Amino acid sequence: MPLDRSLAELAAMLRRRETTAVDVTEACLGTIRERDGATHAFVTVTADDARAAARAADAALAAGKAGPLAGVPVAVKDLFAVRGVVRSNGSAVCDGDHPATADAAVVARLRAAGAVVVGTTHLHELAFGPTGVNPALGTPANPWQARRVPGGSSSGSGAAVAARLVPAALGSDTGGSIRVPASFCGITGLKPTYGRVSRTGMTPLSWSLDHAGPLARTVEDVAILLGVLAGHDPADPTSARLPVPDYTRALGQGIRGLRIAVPRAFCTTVLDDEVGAAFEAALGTLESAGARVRDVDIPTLRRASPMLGATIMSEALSALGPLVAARREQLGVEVRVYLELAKLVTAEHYLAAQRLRSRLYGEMRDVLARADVLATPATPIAATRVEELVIRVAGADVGVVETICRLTGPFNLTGLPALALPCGFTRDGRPIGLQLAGRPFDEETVIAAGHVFQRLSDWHLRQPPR
Amino acid sequence: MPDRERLRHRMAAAGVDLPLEMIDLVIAAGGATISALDELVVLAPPDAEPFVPARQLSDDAA
Repeated sequence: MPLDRSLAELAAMLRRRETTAVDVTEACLGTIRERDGATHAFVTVTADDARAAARAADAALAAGKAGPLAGVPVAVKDLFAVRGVVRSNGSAVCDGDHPATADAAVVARLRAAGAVVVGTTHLHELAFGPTGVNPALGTPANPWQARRVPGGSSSGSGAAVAARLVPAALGSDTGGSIRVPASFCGITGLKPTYGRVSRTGMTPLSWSLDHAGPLARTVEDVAILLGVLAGHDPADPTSARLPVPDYTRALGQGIRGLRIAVPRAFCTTVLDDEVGAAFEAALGTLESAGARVRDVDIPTLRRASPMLGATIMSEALSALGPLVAARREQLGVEVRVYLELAKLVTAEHYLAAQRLRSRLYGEMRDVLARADVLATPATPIAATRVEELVIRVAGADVGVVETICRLTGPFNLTGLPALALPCGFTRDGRPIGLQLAGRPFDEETVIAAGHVFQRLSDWHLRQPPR
Repeated sequence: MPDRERLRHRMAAAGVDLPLEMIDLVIAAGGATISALDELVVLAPPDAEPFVPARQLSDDAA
């Protein structure tokens, strides 16, 4: 079955003409038709467009002019514009909107590389939340345990990749929205450096925190995808003008002598025991490949949650206000609560948070002057139950939302690249994620370390029950 | 005044428009973050400018 292959394997099979883009696309559409009733990952399936794109990919492959993703099916989080598709943004407030007349920049880049867009995926309402729970449009099932959340906000993208409906998907990440579903669903997700990937055509949630990036099964896959997605976009004022390296070259690098810094005191303050054990084992695996691990202190991390909260709520109130103003009654309870709570955040709070972000960034930069990557668990807990708002972790009651974002949010605040990849399972079968973060625009080192980890482990190869 | 009551008053003063039955839920799930907002003002470093990721990260990488 082609969809059991990783993106890299599938792309290679297509290049060798062992299968065709039309056959792969039909298999993908058939699998979605057969299994998405249970997974509920897709909002819209663009079957006709996908078939046309597959025929074009086969022609390009036959002519020897194919891009790196020729014939590979991908899904797109439903907050990116996809030509001809109505964007739900995960919210009933967008009911009746017009179809997009042009693709988001990242969607256009995928198509230019030959990818076959098969549809758009569900998300936490307006991407404003990390669980993926969406009472209005439906919550995708976590493929490992249906009553557990898939993680969000890129919930459908995470579930679709984990359930083997597609080999890869696009996500966005404001406080962890690529890395949380990667962690909860047992797949690999990369939040690139702020400015590395264009956000043109993506519905904003929080301008200074929003990132676009890939979810797939392996580090190799996200390296290939990042090579397609990255690059300057004059239409995005935050887009960086830096050259894009060949990220797949990082896959051949070893990690002997790699210096890994662990902010252990912060990580372990709120940490599930099983997640902690898997994280320590992952560090041991990296050490066995020659990496050197040492503990560091990053004092401002302790303030990261309110910094993230103040920033997201203020910017979201401004970004989403016009979108929801006329249809406020159609807004879900959770987002309505956040937008009401945003009234508690004053300009003084907001600016204090931005000044503290400078300090946090400075502290991380200092650590990364003496280390090559930072490592943490991706999330302090594994996937929670759909109905849980408060859970008990290490003997204390903690809020689910704040806890889920505790270790991912700091890398949105600083804009540093961060990769989430599977590093274990709880005793009851829920995936556990490892996070590796690097210096600005140094995705290569993070990819190299993650790929070595996946060469030495098989967590990313495990498949959820069907 | 207990924290919970203080938060209720604070929300009312800011014009937060939520049903009463939801307030307790909000406080349980997000009260710690709300309470910590004022600490940000106290802790903000006087010599630091607001973080501008698009500028800072490119400058440091160049």
